[in-house]
Amino acid sequence: MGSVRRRGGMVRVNLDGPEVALLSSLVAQVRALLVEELPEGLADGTADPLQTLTAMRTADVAAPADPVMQRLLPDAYRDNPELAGEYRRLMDADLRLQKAAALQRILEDVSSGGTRKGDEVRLELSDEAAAQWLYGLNDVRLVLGTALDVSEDMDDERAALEPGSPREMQLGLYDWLTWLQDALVRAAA
Amino acid sequence: MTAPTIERSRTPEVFEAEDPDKPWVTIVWNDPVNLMSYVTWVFQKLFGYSKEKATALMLDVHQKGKAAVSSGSREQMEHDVARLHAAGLWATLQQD
Repeated sequence: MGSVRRRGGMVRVNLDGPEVALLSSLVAQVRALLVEELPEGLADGTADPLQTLTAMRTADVAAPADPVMQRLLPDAYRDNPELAGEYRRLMDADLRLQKAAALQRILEDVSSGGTRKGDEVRLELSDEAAAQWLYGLNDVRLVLGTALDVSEDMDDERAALEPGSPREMQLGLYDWLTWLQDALVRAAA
Repeated sequence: MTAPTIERSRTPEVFEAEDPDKPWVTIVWNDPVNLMSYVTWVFQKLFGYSKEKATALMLDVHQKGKAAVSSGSREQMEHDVARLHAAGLWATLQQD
């Protein structure tokens, strides 16, 4: 079981092997959701970003139909489709790239950062890195929480869940992410 | 308190011409995923609010379903909404 604590001005995150594998897999999947509709080369920096973004900002961008993507990329204007569309046309690619960058930071930190002891990874995150982790983890929880249709009070449902059922395991995963994010908030400045 | 759904209103509305004297506000809406601790941290980080003010705004979002977290020009509020969306909060802007 992992741990998160603040020491020496840094956020120390210890994750065991299965946690690293799980986190990497989820983060990579959410990052893929965000960049799959962007022009090739934009997310990995091989395209000329200015040229590509300028071209994109002149084309209309439809609001996502999928509730998960709607939650990741919400309308900026609640009851004004015209202004919401105009805002999305200008901002959609930027928002996707910002989110993808935060998720990429997590992937890079867990794959190559810190020190390893057995299959455990020990990371020391600066407050700037911890902020990127918080943004990325929040987006993973938004995707999972929306897909699982979580609500604020699920105590009754949880109590009635059969141990080992798919729903119980999915909510267990969501709860682990919630624990990790909350521990990071408390350790971050 | 019930958590609002993510569905947007589909009701068409007629908009009056913008009144330049009416300020714009950024609204953050409640949702069942975002953590109270995280929302408070985001308000402190993005707006420089004190822990007390950030906590009060977070509780408004949580208990009343929404809170106005900043006000100013439309451009400033679009910038705030963009930063809140990057942080994963459910934010919109409107004329007050």
